[in-house]
Amino acid sequence: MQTQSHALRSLDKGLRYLDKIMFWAIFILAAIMFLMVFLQVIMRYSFITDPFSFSEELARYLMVWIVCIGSAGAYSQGMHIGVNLFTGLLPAAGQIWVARLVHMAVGGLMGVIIFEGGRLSYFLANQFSPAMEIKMTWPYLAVPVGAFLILIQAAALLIKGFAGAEKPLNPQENKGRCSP
Amino acid sequence: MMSLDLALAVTFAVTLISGVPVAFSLALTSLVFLLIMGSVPLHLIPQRIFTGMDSFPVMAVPFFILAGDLMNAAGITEKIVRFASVLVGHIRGGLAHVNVVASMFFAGVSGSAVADAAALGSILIPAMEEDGYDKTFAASVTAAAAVIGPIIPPSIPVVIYALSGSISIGGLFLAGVLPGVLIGLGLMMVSYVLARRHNYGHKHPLATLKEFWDSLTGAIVPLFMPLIIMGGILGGIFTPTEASCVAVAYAIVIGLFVLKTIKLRDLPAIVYRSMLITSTILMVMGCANIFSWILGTQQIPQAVGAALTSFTKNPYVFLLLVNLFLLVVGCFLEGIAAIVLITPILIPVAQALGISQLHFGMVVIMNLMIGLITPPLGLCLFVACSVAKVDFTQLIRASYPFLLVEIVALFIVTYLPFFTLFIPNLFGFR
Repeated sequence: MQTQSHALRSLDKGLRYLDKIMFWAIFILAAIMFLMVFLQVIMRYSFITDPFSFSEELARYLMVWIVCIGSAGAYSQGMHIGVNLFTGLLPAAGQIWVARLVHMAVGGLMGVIIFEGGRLSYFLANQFSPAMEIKMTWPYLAVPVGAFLILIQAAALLIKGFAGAEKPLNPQENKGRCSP
Repeated sequence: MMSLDLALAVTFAVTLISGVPVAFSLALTSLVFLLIMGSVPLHLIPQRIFTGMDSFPVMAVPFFILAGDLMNAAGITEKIVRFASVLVGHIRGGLAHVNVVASMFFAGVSGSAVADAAALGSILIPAMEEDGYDKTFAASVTAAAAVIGPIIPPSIPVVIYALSGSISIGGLFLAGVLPGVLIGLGLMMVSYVLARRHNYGHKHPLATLKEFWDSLTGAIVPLFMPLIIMGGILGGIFTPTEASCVAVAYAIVIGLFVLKTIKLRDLPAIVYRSMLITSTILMVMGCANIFSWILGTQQIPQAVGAALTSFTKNPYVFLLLVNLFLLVVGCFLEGIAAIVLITPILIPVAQALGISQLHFGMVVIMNLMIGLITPPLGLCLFVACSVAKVDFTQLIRASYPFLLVEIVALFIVTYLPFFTLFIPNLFGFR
């Protein structure tokens, strides 16, 4: 029992550390994305024409990275939109089991995306983006990396669930008595 | 072929019902399909997720969300509420009208109904309770008024519809103005009747000219934002994505330097939250992109189109069917997923029947946005319910009159294209 709670504590610590990295990564990527598009507007109306041919492309790839990392953050906070009318009708024990199955199904899906997305990124090393001329590996890598982060979050929720610290699947809908 | 379609439908239903997030439910369904089919390499999944998000026009979504969140953090919500209460606060059921009118103004700042409900609800629901309104009534007005948010521009569902139907974002923005006002007027009528019947609220005097002037100068900051966005897009100064980015810059300047209500160190947390909300929307788009590829290979859009046109060639009957179908869909499927999955199927049929694309688009969006206040998946009801801390079943019941008036407004707009087309036509959109 002692070792179990110790393991849980270090899991929590690790997750908090990961959260912090994701937080700053998303903020910095979003800030660069904003600056790219904003400068593009400003520059268009100044004397320098077409200063960054790459601004639009860079902003797009950054957005894909933001969404892939952000999906993991949203998953751990239960922000993704889902239907929980039907699971809400189940008794408590049933709800917990359905939530576990959901985490497992999502984890399995992420496993496939990590493998296939990783392979795809690897094979795209000989293709280059039109404007920045970087390997297409880098933008595409966002998808498997994001899937990996979601897999971590799903596994963590599953482990915490089995250790008894169960959380509802969609907390935003469960505040108070707001789920049907 | 038949068994494949069946596997598709069953997997989708089972994953959705068991509470898998909509995005992953779409991806899982696609995975099962590809595994059964066997001939398509599985790297189609990450590839379609990537291409579904890798688009410059889509970037208007994170920027519009961020601009709305920043403006809310800058405290403009109070200013909008004060301005609205000067305008309509003296009418019977004053704060209910204030709620509706503030929602219409707030719609010009934010593009999402859920954000509207959360921001206005946290201010107006306690205020309404204090003024002698039933709390459940206050929550139902808030939820119903928030539906206007994504109908009046800017609007995230409109951006996504315009992209998946390849029509003009600016034109579809304009098409939403009059329908949004129509819904607002309808909600105010219902509020008036209910407030009279239940004797809600105290009498408030008409605002003085000075109060009007003070609240107007306070509200100029938020009211200027839709002008920048729409003026910039319609004047050809920038694209919708660039307009959304300029809106973010405007909100940052207002919050940090003009009102000084946002501190620099608050910025990362606001950006992070907005980006997580963006992720939930764009992940649905990415995963729906796999799904729509599969629907395409199964020729399901053509099959549905053929079935629909064999059933009726009358555009009015078609629109009626679309309305009934989408009202049901809106109850069970979240708006963005519904737009991405269903528009590619319905748009060609509407086009063949000679219905204006802008008109049809706004009808579809109104339908799906009404789904925000219909159980079981009524996101605005969830938000209003958790802000007000009222009983969910009672809230659903209290929302029925508002739901009814919104459906009436939907049918008026559907059969009188004047509401959707008048303003876009003025600006040369067809």
